[in-house]
Amino acid sequence: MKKLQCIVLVLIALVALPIFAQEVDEAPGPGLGGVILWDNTGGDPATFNPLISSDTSSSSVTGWLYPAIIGVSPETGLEEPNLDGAMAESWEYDESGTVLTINLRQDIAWNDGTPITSADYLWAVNATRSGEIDSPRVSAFATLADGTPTGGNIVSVEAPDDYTVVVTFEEADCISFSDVNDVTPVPAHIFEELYGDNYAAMLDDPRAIPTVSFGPFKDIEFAAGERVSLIADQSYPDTILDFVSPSEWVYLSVADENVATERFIGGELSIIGVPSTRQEEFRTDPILKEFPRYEFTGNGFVFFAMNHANPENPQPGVDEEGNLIPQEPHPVLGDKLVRQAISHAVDMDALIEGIRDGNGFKVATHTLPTSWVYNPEAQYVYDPELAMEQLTEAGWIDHDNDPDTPRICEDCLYAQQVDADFNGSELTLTLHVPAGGDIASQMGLFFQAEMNKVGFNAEFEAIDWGSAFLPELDGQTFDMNMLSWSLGLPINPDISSFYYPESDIPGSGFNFGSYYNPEVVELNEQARVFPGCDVEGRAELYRQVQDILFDEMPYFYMYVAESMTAVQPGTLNWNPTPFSRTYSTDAWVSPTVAQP
Amino acid sequence: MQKYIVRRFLQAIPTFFGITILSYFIMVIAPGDPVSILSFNPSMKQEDKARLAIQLGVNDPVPIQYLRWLIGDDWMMLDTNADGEVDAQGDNYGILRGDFGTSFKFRGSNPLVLISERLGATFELNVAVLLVGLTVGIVVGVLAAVYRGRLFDNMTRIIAVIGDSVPAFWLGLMAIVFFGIFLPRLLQAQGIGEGRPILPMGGRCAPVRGGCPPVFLRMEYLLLPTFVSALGVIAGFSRFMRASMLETINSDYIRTARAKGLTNNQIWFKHGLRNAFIPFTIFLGPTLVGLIGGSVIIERVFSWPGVGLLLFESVVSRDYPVIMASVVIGSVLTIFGYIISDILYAVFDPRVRF
Amino acid sequence: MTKPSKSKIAKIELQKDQFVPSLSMWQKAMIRIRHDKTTLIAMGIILFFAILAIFAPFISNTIFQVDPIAQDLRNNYAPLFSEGHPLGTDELGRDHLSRLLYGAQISLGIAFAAAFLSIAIGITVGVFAGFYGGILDDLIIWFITTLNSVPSLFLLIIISAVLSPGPFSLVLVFGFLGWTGTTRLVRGETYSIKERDFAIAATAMGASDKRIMFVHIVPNILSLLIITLSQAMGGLILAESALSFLGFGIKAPLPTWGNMLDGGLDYIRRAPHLVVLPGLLITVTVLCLYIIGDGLRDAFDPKIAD
Repeated sequence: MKKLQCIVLVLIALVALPIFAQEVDEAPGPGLGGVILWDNTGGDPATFNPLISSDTSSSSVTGWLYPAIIGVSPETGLEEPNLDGAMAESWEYDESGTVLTINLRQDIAWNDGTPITSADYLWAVNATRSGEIDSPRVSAFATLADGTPTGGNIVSVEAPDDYTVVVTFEEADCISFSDVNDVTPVPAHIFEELYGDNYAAMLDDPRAIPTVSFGPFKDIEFAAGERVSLIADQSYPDTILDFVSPSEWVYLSVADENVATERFIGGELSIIGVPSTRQEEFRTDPILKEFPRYEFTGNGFVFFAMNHANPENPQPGVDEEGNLIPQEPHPVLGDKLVRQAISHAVDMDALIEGIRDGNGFKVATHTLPTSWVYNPEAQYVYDPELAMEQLTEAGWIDHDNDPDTPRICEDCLYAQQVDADFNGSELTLTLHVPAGGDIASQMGLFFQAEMNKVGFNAEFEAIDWGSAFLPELDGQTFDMNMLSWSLGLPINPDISSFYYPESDIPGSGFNFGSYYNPEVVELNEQARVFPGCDVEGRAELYRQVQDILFDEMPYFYMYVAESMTAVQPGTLNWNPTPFSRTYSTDAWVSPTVAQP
Repeated sequence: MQKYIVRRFLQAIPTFFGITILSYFIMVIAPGDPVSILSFNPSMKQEDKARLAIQLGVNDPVPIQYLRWLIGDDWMMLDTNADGEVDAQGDNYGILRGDFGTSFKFRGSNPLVLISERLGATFELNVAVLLVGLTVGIVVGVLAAVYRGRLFDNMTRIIAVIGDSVPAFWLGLMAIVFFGIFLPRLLQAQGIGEGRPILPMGGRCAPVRGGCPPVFLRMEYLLLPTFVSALGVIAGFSRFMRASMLETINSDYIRTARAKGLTNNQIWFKHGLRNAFIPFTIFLGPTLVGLIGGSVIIERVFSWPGVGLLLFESVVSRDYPVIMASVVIGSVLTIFGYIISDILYAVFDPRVRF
Repeated sequence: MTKPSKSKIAKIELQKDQFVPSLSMWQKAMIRIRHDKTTLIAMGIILFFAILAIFAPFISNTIFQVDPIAQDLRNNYAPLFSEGHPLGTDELGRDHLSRLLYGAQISLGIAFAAAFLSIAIGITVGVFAGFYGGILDDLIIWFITTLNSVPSLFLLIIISAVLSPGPFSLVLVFGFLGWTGTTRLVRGETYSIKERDFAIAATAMGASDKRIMFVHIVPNILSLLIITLSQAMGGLILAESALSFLGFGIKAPLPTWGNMLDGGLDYIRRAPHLVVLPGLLITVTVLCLYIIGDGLRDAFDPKIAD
């Protein structure tokens, strides 16, 4: 299942360590902790330059080599000062709430000895804002260097001295703080020499292998199609123990996912994310039980996006002047009753039990169970009778008293509001999932079967992500498409990029269902600029937003995956948290065999 | 002879052009476009997408695109900012001059470089498969012909055909699990060994720094992929060898030799074998082609970093420059294979005269 | 008149016995096949599978009353010989036996149709090329060489990824990629037959080109075509399962042996029958087809002494 990363932050957690370390066993000594082997099923990393990378394979590698400006704690999932691998020692806002001053640590340096200073962050910011590198991170800023608006909140970034960074926001809000972390500091002295201010030159430098880095590992050795290898950097100051325990970190290319789990079992990998189809085995099989495992609720959810607007006529949500453009309702999904009927027609418990082996946490709103706005009471109720009643009430009549045949529109919403000729049409919907995942197809088929039982004529197909699924999602010509959001850290309940009319842009925006509710916008804005950013106050507002989303169903929210990570028996100092399973890697002792 | 070689190469030229047209045709009929894939991010605006599309050349009419791809566009002026007026020169030299553009996925990387990084691994595997397939196939085929009708003949025919019938990926996965997990555990339960994989479960060499050591130091990595791949080759070669030998043995000149009193050994191994080899050389070309293409499956199962895997990944990510480069390079190699095959045939068969 | 002596009569009858009427190639082949037990068994198996495939709906729905599509999530991964499900259920609770039967229909159907299509195209193109020669022949050879120079799996992957075929379009894709071998064969035979006396005689008698091509030439190569059909089918079944393994090919819920094999790999420890059965069926089918091909070739081969 493709994961979309709103913010490429989750890897920051890899290098940000807690001050109060958990139980740490003795490790044999620097470089004696074995070779750490991760599996890479995503293909070769495209680049090792964090400013232009946008795929997970690349960020898995660059996560070891660069600091974060502000660290995110793997214990809490929130930003905290003085974390390992991060530059910020402290920060404060001014009274207006629009000027953030970050004080940087003065004790860290790149591994060639050059101190890490504000210049490193500034260089990265300037490169991103230049617009020359096509970075997706420009959305954090209000404008590019040449003034082109990019929709973010950061107006300017300055470095009055080597250890101070001043960020000015356009308006005081509670969420733009995390945008500061979107940009990764790079060694300015090296990059300046290599590229000067010709930032576009970075695009021509394939696989920019860095010569200078900051992290527990260094010195990339890259073998195309095979692996990326980093060796321990004993000069790293932020280690948990006094040294880096493993000798090497290897990102091993494994082409087929079936094989990856088998290779882990065989001892050729140090750690693995266990696929949901094998999780039960790891709990019950006498041999697999011996592998230490950690189960946690993931940080993303799976859902069926519902197109509220007519797929024959995709419209942007607002015009150039920012005026709302009225959206013609979807002939079937435009009616809230129909959407709610679908939520009663699908037995999500059976889906999670049967298809995911119970490894899933039902959700019915745009939150995670670990989020501070989660409301456990909001859940869909499985009641096919109720679903059928609602469909009848919505004007979709079962005229032959046979629930298996499709219902016919008799005075349904679309016929009433838009086109009276629509009367007599069948209750047809097309469900699409991205091809390539068995689980996704199984879930899609299940939805189809369940919906057809209450009178839908649902068609299902697994279609290719790049050539079919994405264009119709983006282009807003779909009915119901299944995908997932993978949410970065820290958890951000702001829903503007998903449900604002400004995000409803055929061809690029994330509000592909053309959902609009002015109250949702209003509440979300209030929470965004809540005075003092008081957590309780904001939580209350966000919960109201979630209640509306629960009722109106811009998506059929499905579940958050219960994930399982396992390591080799005998691994020492593995301290997984729900926010990071790998942050303590520099203290690991791993018995993986590098050579059989 | 030289004239023959030259003529074969000249004949390959129209084929080469045919290949380029075919490759381009594929890209044309494809739905969806690379720009969407590269830009599924919320902040890329319509103008940026349009600019990207123009730079990638996807908006021109097809014959023009083909021409641009083939001979480059540094002789043309392009409209890079979509305002309807040309403003800049193209910078593509065209594949005839070796410029395959830059990869969409690995931004800035030259597709030829990407392919060359992987060619070594594919060659390694294919040469090993050919060697194993040839030796085992020839031996088995000859013996089957010599002992025609007896147990050995029937057994090997059936085993060879079974090996050819099993889906390769299935066999490969079973082999990996068997030698990597099942067998070690079994032995460990008997007190032998520590339960470590007996044969590596994938990859080309141990993941240690310094690159892969020479082939003969890492033969255990080559073992499983080679044998799984070679089964089909062995089946085909042995069957053909057997039939070829039988045909030769029944031919007139062999009967003459027998009548003249030559011993069985002399007949079989001196005359029969040599002549049976001749049609064999025709086989070499197509086998090589099949290996280059079929390697996708084996490379995927065994994580063997070859060209097949690169092609697969490029197809999945719609990385057209790399797809096209792989098809063209793969085809060129194939043509070479055929030419070498033809030349060998001409060398061995005195009946072929120019 | 003296009565002919018994010995003389015996001699005449002996001479009659020595006069063995010569058999046609087909008749000889039939005799050989009848004695080739291995090939007969293989043919029997294929026939059995074909019958199962053709009558899949009847067997599945009427006799066992199960359905390849109906899901029953609470009853998934049922083992063999479960109640109501003779071969168990798959990951979505769908009946395995029924899916194997319908899968046979699709897998065997695609293999047969595609092989037939590629041979049909091959015959047509080959005969035209061989008969008319000249520029047409050169063009066709150029096209064939081009097509053959591209590693076929490369082409197959690219086209499948791009077109996302269903059963019908997959038949077309396979058919249009696989005709080159047959064409070469037919073209060669056409060349040689064209010059033979009976063909020249037919032309002299005023037979049209088409008549000569299809009435005279094709029957002569029929035996070769049957052998090719059998072997092509085997290769196509394997190709379809390889495509499914790579993630292209026919997608759920339509069952094919290939996508059932691939889909089942995840569950090999938990429900091995989901993997073993489709795999076994593929292997056995392909094996039988290859054996039949071999057996037919031996049967029709005029050079093998009896």
